[in-house]
Amino acid sequence: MSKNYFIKIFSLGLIFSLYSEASTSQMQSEINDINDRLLNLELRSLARRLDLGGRFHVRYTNLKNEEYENDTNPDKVQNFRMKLDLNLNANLNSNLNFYSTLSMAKSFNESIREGTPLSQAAWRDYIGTVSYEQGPALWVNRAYIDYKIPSTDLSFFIGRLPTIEGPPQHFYEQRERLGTYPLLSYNMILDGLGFDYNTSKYLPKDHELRIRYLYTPTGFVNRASKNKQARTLNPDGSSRKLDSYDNFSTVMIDYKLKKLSWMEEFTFIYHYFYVANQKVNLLGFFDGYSSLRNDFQASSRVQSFYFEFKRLFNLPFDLAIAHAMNREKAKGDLYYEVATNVFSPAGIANGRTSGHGTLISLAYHLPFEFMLNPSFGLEYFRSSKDYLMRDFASDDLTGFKAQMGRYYHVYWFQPTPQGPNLRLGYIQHQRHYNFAASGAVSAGSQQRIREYYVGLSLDF
Amino acid sequence: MLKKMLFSFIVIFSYSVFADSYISVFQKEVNDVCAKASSILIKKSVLDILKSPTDKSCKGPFISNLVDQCDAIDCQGLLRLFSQVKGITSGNIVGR
Repeated sequence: MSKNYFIKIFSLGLIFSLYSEASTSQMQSEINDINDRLLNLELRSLARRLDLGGRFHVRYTNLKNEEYENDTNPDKVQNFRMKLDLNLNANLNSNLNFYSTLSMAKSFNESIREGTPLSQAAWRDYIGTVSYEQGPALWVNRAYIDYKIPSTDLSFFIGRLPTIEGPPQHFYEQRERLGTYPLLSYNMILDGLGFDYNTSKYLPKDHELRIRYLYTPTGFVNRASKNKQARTLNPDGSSRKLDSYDNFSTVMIDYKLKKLSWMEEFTFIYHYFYVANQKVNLLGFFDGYSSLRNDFQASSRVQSFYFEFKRLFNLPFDLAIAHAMNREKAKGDLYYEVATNVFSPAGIANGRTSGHGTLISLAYHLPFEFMLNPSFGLEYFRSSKDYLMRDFASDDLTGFKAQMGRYYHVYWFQPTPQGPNLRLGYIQHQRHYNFAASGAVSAGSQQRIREYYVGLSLDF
Repeated sequence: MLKKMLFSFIVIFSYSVFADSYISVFQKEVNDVCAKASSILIKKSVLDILKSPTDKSCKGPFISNLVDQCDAIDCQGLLRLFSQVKGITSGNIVGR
């Protein structure tokens, strides 16, 4: 082989190794750059543990209220209102989550108001923002820790719990379930703690069964002196200590079955709660309990059954049927000063009462993709005398599901391309009975309320 | 090609770092009805949904691809599934 041949081979080898080194070096530089960017992304992702989202909705309502049959001067009410929910959730590890919702709900530009706002009531904790009377301030409607105990099927939760807007309220705007408690059982915010036991591993695939216990006691706080029990007055004027908490417990069975051949999903919820010996009138028509003479006690038991059929018979409609039964017991009275040192009982109805309510809700999802699959909904609700439902978070202006009577609701939900969603609706309510100030149910009512509404909502 | 692969890895990894988020639940649910859908395609479909949250017609390149690949689920079904999964992880029901 000639010397030139070796020089050429050597030169080529040198050039090739220099080129390879340059390419390797360049590739290494690019890899380092990508590693650096990956690390930055990972850091930003970990540092930003909060998942932020929410909902904003605005509604216009036009309502006509005929207090009695052939009312020649009915009340006509118009109302613009808005609600903002900011959800701040943190998934801290595979077992620990924190959920919170800051909310604002108000009517537009409220200038003159008749009556005392619910925000000042003794039980304002149960209301949060949901009465639309809290002005532009942000309130905490939800704040709780959810902890799945490792190596078990048990979860523990504590805080301000998601006990409002339960099923079937999610039907109205094609959403997923919005709250833990079925709507007819209870629709107020509760603070408390509890356990959820998931028994699904003992069941066949696609069955999910959860058993829950919640303890959400009613609190009596001595704001003047936090190291003392709250007090009230006996009928003779002597002081009586109140226990710090009254028992308020709930048991739930929450069952779901997915992927049936004839239905997308079936849900059944049994819900039972017991409020023991409540020392405040459940209707909350008074405040300043500590200075009011009384020997009043009340207790309540409510149980409800909820059935939901999603895409029944593989058709594009969802059906929900709910039935709630309440039993109330009251004894004792409140005593008002009618003259100097002369007290007279208010005449609160004593004894036992029971009532029930039934709600049927149907949402039909029109299979028109060009219209973005809007929904048409129908609701019917009927309740008996002495039906009692705790409701401060109702979707409509009047809170029809908490009344004793009959109610019809039709609505149209229209998604829009790239915009907020639209809902139009009409509600007609016939009230058969009213609660009197004493808590008793007055005989007969012919009140009729008609409500038209238009709403825009945005989820983000 | 290497850059594309590495960038895909970045995207996948950053979502994985979000622990057991709704994305991994969604991936499992989609694979239950559409076994052949790849993990990358499902996660890129999530990107399409997140980029256009008000789009109800699955116009994104990856989500439309996923819909085409899966006979068992259509666009509305996929969006409903996504909504259901987000609902599970929303905290609306205690103990979930």
